[in-house]
Amino acid sequence: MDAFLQAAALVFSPAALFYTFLGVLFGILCGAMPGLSAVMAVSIMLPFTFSLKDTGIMMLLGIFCGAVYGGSITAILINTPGTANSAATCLDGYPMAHKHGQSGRALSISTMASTFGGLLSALMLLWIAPALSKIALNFGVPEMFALGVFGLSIVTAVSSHSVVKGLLGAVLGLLLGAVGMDTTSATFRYTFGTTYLISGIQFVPLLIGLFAFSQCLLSAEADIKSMAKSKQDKLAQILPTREDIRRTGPTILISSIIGTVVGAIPGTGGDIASWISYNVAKRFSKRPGAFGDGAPEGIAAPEAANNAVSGGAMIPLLTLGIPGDSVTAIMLGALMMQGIAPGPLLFTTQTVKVYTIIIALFVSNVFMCLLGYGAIRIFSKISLVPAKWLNPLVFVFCTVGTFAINNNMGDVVLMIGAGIVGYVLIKLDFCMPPIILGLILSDTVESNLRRTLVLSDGSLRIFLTHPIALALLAVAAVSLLSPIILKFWKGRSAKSAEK
Amino acid sequence: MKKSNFATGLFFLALSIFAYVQARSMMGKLDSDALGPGFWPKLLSAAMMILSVVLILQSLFSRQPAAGAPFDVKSEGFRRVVKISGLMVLFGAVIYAAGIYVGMVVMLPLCMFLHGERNKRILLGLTAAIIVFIYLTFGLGLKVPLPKGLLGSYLG
Repeated sequence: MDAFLQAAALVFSPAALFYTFLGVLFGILCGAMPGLSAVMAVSIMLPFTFSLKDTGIMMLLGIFCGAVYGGSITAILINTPGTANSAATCLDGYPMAHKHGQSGRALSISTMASTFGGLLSALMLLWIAPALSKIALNFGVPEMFALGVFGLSIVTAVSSHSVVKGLLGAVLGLLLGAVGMDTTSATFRYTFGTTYLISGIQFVPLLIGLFAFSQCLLSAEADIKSMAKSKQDKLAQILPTREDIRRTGPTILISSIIGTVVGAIPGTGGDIASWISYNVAKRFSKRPGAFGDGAPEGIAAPEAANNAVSGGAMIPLLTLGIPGDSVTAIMLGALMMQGIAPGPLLFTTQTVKVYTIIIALFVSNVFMCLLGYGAIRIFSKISLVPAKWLNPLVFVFCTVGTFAINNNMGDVVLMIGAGIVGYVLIKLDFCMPPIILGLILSDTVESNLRRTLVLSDGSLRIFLTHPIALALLAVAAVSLLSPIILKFWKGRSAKSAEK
Repeated sequence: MKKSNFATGLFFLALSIFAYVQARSMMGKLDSDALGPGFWPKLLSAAMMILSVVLILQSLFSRQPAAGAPFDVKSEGFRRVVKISGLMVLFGAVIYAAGIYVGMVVMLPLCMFLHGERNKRILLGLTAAIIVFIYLTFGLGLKVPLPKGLLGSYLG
C-alpha cells in the first residue's frame, strides 16, 4: 500500500501530469499522421526523456497510448490508417463518417473504445500480470504458427464481396510477404536483382497506398460538382449515446481482453489484435451484415483491442524483461537507462516503479479520452473539407509519411504503385484487408512453421502435443470455412424455399 | 463483371505460374531446414493457381446476372483518375530529381485543377499554405527528413 501511495504521489505531481499530457498530445498527432507510427513517436522523444527520469517514462507511456489512438482519427476521416493498428478501423469508421455523415459519432465510439481498452489492460497489468506472463511463456514456435494461421482465417470474414477474391487477395499478400531475403537460408526471393527488395516489401508504404492513395483515386472518379461540395456532418452529440454504449459495450469488453492477451504475447502487436477482435465481433454480432458499412461494433472492436495492447505488451516487458511489441522494445531501453531492471524480481525489488508505470498508464488513457472528446469537433471538421482540396493534401501526406519511414524514395514508388494497383483491384471487387493481413502474417506463419519442423525433425505430429496450437488451428479451420459453408447452406435453403 | 472476372482469373493464373517458376530456382536448403526457401512460395503459387481456376470457372458458369463493366474508359471520371495517376508518377519523378518542395509546387495546383478547382487565388494560396505547413510541421517541428532530391543533395 505504501508503494502504491508513493507511486500515486509521483504520478499526480504537476510536472508529471504536464509531461504525461504532452506525451499523449504528441502521440495523438503522430499517430494521426500516416507514416508516423507509435514506434517513431517514441523514438523521436526518447532522447528528451533521459533527463526527466521517472517523468520521462510517463511521457513515453503517454506517447504510446496517444499514438495508437491517433491512428483511428485519419482512419475514420480519410480512410488512411495513421498506424497499422487502425487499418481494421477503416472498414466501418470511414463508411460511418462518409456514407452516413456521422464522423463525430465514429470518433466518439473510437475514443470510448480506446479509453476502455487502455484502462482495462492497465487494470489487468496490475492484477494478473505474473499469471498472464506464465501463459505467454507457453507460446513457442508451434503456437506462434497457429496464431498466424488463426489470424489468416479472418480473411473470409473480411471478404465482403467475394470469398474467392478475398482468398486470392490474402494469397497475394502472403506472396508479397515472401519477397526479400529468406532469413533462414539467406536466399533472395523475388528480388529480381534489386537492392530495394532485399529487405522485402515494406508494410507501411503498401498500407498507405492500398488504403489511402487508392481511396483518393476512387473519390476523384466522382462527379466534379460533388467534389466541390462540403459533406454535411451530423454532429448531434460528442459523447456516445446510450444506444451506442449498450450496443458496443460487450464488444468493447471482449475486444479489450483479446487485445490484452495478444499484447502479452511477445512478437505480436496491435495490428493482429485489432483484426482478431474485428473478426470475433463480426462472428458473434446479431447484425453481421452491417459490418463494413458503418457498424458501431466494427469501430469499437479494433480500437478497444489495439489500445488494450498497450497494457498487454507491458506484461511480458515488466515481468520477464521481454518486450511485447516494437514500442515496448524501445521502452525496455528507456527503462534500463533509468535504472529500472525489468524481470521477475521487478515486482518485489522496485515495487514503486511498477506502480508508477501502471498508474501512469491509467492517467495516459484518461488524458487520451479528454483530448479525444475535447477535439472531436475540430477533427470532424476535416470531413467538411471538399474533396478537391482534401485529395491533393492527402496525396502529400501519403508521400511525406511514406518517405519518413526509411528516407527511401523506393518506398514512395512502392506507395504510388500500390495505390494505382489498389484502385484497379477495388474496381474489380477485391477487398484490401485480406492483402494487408497476408502481408502482416506471411513471415509469422512461414518462419514459425519452418522452425517448428526443425524442432520436430519434419513431423507435423508436433501440433498434437501442443494443445494451445491445436486449439488455435481448429478454431482457424472453423473460422475459415464457416462463412463459406453458411453461404452455401443459405443458398440451398433459399432454393428449397422457392421450390 | 463476368468478363472482367475471367480476365482477372487469367491474370492471377499467369502470375501464379510465373511465381512458381521463379520459386523452383530458390535453392540454398539447409540440412536442418525441412522445407527450404522455395517451399512457401511454391505453396502460395499453387494456392493462387487453384483460386484463379475457381474464379475463371465461376465467371463461365455463374448463373448470376452480369453486372456492369468495372471500368468505363470513356467516362470523364475514369479519364480524371488516369490523369491524376500520371500526375502522381510525375510527382514522384520531380521529388526524386528536385525534392519535395519543388514537387509540391508542381503537383498541388495541377491536382486541384484536375479535381475541378479553377479559382487561381485558391490554387496558389492553398499550395503555398500546404507547403508552409509541411515545412513547419515535418521539417522544423518533428525534424522528419524530407526528400531533397538529386538537386538538393548536389547543392548541399
